Amino acid sequence: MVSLDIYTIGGEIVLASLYFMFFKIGLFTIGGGYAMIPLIQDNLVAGGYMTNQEVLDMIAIAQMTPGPFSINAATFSGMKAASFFGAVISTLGLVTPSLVITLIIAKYFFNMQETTLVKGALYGIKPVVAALIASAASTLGIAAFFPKGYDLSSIINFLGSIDFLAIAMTVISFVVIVKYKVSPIITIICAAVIGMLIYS
Amino acid sequence: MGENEIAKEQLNKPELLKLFLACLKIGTFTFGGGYAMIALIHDEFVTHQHWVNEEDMCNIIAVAQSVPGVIAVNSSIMVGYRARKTKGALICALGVVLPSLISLSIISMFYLQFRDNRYVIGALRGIKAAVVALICSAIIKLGRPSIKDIFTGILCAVAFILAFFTDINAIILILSGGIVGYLYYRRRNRAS
Repeated sequence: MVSLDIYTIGGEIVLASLYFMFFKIGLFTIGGGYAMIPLIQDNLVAGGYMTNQEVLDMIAIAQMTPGPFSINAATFSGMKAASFFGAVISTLGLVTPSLVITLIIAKYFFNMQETTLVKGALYGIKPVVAALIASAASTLGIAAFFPKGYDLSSIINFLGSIDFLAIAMTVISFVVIVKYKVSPIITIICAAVIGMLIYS
Repeated sequence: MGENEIAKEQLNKPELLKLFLACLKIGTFTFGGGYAMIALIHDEFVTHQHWVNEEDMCNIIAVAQSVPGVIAVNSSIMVGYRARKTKGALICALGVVLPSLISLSIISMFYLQFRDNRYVIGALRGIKAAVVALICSAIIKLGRPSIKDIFTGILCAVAFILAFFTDINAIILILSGGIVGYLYYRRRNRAS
């Protein structure tokens, strides 16, 4: 109950330091939420707000719950450090840099879209972004298709480590979304129900 | 150009409440990070509601990843701004964040039971498989307008190899892509 003590001793100080901690994390996280894990570890564990085990739990929970990973992680850590207000303040801190920077960029971007500078830069950025997303899909795909990791010691072991049901679900989901234009949300709900029935 | 103007004329202007509810829905069903959210935003904002056109959407995703901050929040701010300026941007950011804030605040109180519940684990394995498909569908939607010629095709392939097989920071790849793309684009335009 260390976190509770800190909270009651100097409530405002804890909330202010949580805000700035996550502000910093939001500002320096570019290109995906997982990059912030070491930052959270450095700040929250060193500051005595969370234990290392709680950080590991946080990563698991943030992946299991709806919403963007980093927002979930901020909410969870804030909740652990200083209950509900801690959660709100941490999340606010995390999104403040996004709000300020992206809002300013949005204000100018749509007017500059047709300039050679922006068009040229986007001409090169867009294929890279497609590649980054493809790379993320590959990583997630490997994790989904080989739930216990892949075993390359022999062909039989390799085949044994594949989750064919998961592959079938991915293929069916893909066909249903792309070809039959089923809503992604409906697809996710169906996949959750099917997963619950087969895997539990 | 002509085609573009027609597309812009047909765009709808959403009410703020409708915008908020759409983002709330997107936030609730996003599992596995900002990339999965792209497919949900695209489906709602471009395909169903016609609030943003295909080309803008593609640019928005590119910009959202190039600036600091949470990709999902950046994307929602950009689409919200495109649809209803600053008010829309703030409403969308709130809508995307709120489901996380509420669900995590509740779940963090009994997260050990949640984490070890076999029905939750089963459902998540199913969701994971669907999320891979969702992200693949986003790649197709974004890839088509992004990869227009051999140059962008090669750029995409090289970036993929670097992103997947090395641990080069994403922002370095994005910056390099922007610089190389701009130089090539300017030279090609001058030549023609």
